[in-house]
Amino acid sequence: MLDLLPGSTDPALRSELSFQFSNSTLIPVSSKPVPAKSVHRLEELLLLGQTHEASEAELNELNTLLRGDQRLRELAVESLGMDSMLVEAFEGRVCSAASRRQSSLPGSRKIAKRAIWRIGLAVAVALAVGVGWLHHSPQNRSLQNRPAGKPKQDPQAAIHSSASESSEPTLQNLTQLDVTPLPGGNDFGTVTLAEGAEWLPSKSVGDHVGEGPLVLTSGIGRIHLRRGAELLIDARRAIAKMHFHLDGTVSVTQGDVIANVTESALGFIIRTPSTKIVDIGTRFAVSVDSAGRSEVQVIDGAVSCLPIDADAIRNESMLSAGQTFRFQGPTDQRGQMIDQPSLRFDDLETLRDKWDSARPQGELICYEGFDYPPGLLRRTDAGQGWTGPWHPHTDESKQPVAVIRQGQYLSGLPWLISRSKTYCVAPSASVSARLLADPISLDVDRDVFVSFLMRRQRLGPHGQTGGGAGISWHATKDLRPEVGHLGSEHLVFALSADMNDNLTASTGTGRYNGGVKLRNSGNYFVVVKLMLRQSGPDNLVAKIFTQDDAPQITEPPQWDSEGHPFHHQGYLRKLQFWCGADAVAAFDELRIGTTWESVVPLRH
Amino acid sequence: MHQGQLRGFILASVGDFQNAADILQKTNLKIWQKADAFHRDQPFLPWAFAIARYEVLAFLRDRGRERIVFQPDVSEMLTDVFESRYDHWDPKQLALHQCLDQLCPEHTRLISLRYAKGMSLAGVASETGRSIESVKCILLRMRRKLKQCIQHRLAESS
Repeated sequence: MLDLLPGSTDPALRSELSFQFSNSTLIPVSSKPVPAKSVHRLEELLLLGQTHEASEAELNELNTLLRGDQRLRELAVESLGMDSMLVEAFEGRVCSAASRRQSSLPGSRKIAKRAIWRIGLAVAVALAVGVGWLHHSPQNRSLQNRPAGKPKQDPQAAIHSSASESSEPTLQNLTQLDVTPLPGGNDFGTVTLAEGAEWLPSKSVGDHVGEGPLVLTSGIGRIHLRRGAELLIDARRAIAKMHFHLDGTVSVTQGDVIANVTESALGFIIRTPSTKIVDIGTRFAVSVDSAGRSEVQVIDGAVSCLPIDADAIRNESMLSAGQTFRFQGPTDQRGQMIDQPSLRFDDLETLRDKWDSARPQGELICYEGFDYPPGLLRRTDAGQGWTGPWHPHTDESKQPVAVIRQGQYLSGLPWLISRSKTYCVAPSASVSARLLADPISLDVDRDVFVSFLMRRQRLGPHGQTGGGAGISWHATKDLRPEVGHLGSEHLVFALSADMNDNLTASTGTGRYNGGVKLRNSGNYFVVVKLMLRQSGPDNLVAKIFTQDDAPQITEPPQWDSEGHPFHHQGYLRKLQFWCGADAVAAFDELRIGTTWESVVPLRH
Repeated sequence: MHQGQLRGFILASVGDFQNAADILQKTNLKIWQKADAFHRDQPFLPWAFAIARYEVLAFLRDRGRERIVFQPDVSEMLTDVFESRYDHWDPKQLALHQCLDQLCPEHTRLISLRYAKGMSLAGVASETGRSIESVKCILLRMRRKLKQCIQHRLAESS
């Protein structure tokens, strides 16, 4: 018997992993599974080695263990693979947020960026899918941006500095807890429109689409995917069969589908029986018949068609706008370019435009993106639709007790268009107020929609007074300065994450109604509908969304919280965001508008 | 897109975060420099692994007698294993994200100190007011829990 564990300090392990010569090859004496104790020791040694905390003897032990057993090597690789994924999970969040911010430029800047990006398409095509990932990698970014001669920045240090630059001392411990991973969950998107659509499993507009099969048996449907792609599915000619996979790809095994893909979903993949269609920022149509014959038609931009069972990419598989490729069946891996596509998708495109133009856009009355320099919330007239700066609710002339931050505490949501990188933090026991430029009469029949991003972290135990935070609306009975002065306002509506973690709607002091349960310290997008009525009681309803739960593009039939109806009079004049003594809250992307659509700007 | 696999490959070669990050950085630079030599009819990852392997060898050569986690022969054996089993990475990564969400805030914080900030066991212990042994036990337990959760989610999805 040959002792191959000279460095091992664990007697039990030494006895479990003895080896002998057999046909000149070293094999373990026992073919039993690796004992749990050995596995634990291996994991422990790997853990110590990762941060240079293993002694010389422990490193020898580790190397000896790994030399001697293939199963332990496999376990080590599996373990180190998970370590790598964990590093990636936390780094990915930083990159994802940065990427989202980059792609959230509003208006003309976004159009200009799109144009530049289109030019860059040629380069992306040249590098194909393989090296395309480098555009998004944190390492690449640091390499590209580092001036010559400057020392390189460790990715970990970059995370550190990013956090520390934006940290407010009093919030330091909260920043450390801010490690929510990237979007997950079994939610790929939302059914956003349907015309005569019958789904299996049954779906209505506003329903989410999860991992698994989805069949459209008739009509036309539209799904907005959380990653930034829009699918138009047409079952007027034939049933459309799809499958949404855990890796974010979509298989179309039968039917006609148009994909409209935004920059954020670059690399989006649709699989057909014979091909993988990798989007390079475009609109393309896929048509698959019941025999597995398929056509890929590029409407705009470019795609790459890959054989379904290979990673390789062939040069001739790149398709640009106007081109169509036909595959004769599931076994046809090469396909061929055709001049005349058998299907025209013009009518579907027309229908899509009609849907879009029919959507009520409404009017944005107020907007506050908290696009101020980090630090104390300044007394400036930024934002739209307000009069005067933010101030403490008790004194219009003073500095509000709130700070502007930039960082990960309140991260934007992937499907929401955000205009700025900064957000506002309401420290414990603070109230900040701002006046609307045009007060809204409570004595007319109209609906007002309000949306905002919010994170509330309860610091005390569940149920402790002071653990809530939220937004409230205040009215004055008379707008004349001598009557409607400061302090004459009364609370008319409020929406909060309360001390019991309920989404509570209120129609005034003493009139509260708890809604859905919230997770402490979650990032939420909240949409509130204020229903103002001239003769009947007023009320409010609210709906809340997380990053895994994109909103509908039209007003939903169901809400998550509803207040007690109460008849108010006067003018909605002041908005406040507040935070209890045992909580910290952050707010961003505050919008007031006339329709759901005007306050829910979705990326698609 | 493939950064996780590449990092995993390098971490399996050298065994420690700091050197793995350095080598990953150098590998990315090399990939950029050699982008013209990449043929689009070849799979990307094996090509990138070959470049990474060269960088790992250069690292081991330059380190000489300095202390390293994996001896060169062990490093090679581990990378061979890695190259044969790096597929299904994305579903695992996705499952991990979902599983991380289920950890309690304290454990999430501990994991993040280790993996987001790259802290040593002693550093995490000091930061959290625990003993090194306690931190080690929690981390090992959390990793096992995450591994089980990933397996459970993958089994569910299949």
